[in-house]
Amino acid sequence: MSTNPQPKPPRRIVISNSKGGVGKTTTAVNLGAGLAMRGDRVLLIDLDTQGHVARALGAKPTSSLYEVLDHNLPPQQALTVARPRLDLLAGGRLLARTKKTIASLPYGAEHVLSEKLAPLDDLHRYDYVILDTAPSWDVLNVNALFYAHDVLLPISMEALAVYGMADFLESIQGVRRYNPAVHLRYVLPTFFDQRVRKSGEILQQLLDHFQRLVLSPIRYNVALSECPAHGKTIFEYAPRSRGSKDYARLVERIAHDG
Amino acid sequence: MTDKGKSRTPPDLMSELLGSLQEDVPLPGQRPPEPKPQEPAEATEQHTDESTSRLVDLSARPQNLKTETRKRDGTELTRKTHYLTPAQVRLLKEYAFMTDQGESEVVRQALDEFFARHGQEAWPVGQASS
Repeated sequence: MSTNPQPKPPRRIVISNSKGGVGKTTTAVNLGAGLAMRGDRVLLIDLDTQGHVARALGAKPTSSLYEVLDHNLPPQQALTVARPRLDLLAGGRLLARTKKTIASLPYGAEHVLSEKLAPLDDLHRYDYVILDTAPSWDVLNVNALFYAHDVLLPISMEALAVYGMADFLESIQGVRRYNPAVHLRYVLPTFFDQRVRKSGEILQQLLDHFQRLVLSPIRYNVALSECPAHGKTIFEYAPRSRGSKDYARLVERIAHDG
Repeated sequence: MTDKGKSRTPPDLMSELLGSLQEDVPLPGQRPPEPKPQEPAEATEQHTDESTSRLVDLSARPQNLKTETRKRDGTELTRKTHYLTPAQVRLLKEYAFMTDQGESEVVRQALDEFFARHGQEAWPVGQASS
């Protein structure tokens, strides 16, 4: 009698917010790196035309998601090993073309990413797939929401970020009609500064609305803004910083929920 | 019933989140530092009253037996602070146990006895109140 357990499918977490500058890429990079440091196998997918994830990790990818989506390159051949147990499917400017290609498809435009990445699921290579999205609402972001299970919503402690959040939540509700598997799982307060009153007020608002979905805040920390320029994660660049501790806390929470 | 349909935050959520920021977190993949083995506590002199199971540390310093008294000396109100030595505290507590009384009661009785014996010479009883 076979006792081989069925391999667990990877958790697919999309980090998304249509507002820019809320810490999506920083969160994706440090969450992915942190989970890999814990011993999990992680795939980080950059859906942004800026391609900042590769830069933040100091990686120099030779292939990207563009080749996978536009030229049918098998995803396993487009991977870049960024760190031990941390693979990267890089983004970049060419993804702008991909958006046009997907938008012009007569049907099934929302499922392109899921179909092209399906071979990775068959290989059972990863425990986590983390998707970093662009600060907009475009076809690639919609694809990410059709591919993912959990949405992690970073929100900076500014009034405009809260307004943008409302629009984004409506969009997720729209996607849920066709992909009930996706749901808002985490709300991550970022750029939190306890000395500033608005930080506390906005955090209180988030707690009023989202209660237990709200994660421990990521405090404002200058090291977090410096480390991408060095191609390092916060755990490598400033392991004793507040940013490092806050992201370590996030990693533990996500892993614990896994 | 909720206020205008809004759900309110349980009061502990905010403090839970902010409190978590104060906790030290190890880097991912690192073990949290092992708690230091607890050093054996210094032996204390404790007496337990068998009838009441009351536990008292006889090695306690006498600060809690620092007392202040106010006395009207003629027209002046004087305040005095009194201390007991550790040995006196120890004896006091032991005696309080033995006689099943409060420590303050023992002190009061001791002072009464003292003044009963010596007060006549140093401070004739009845003179102050007259």
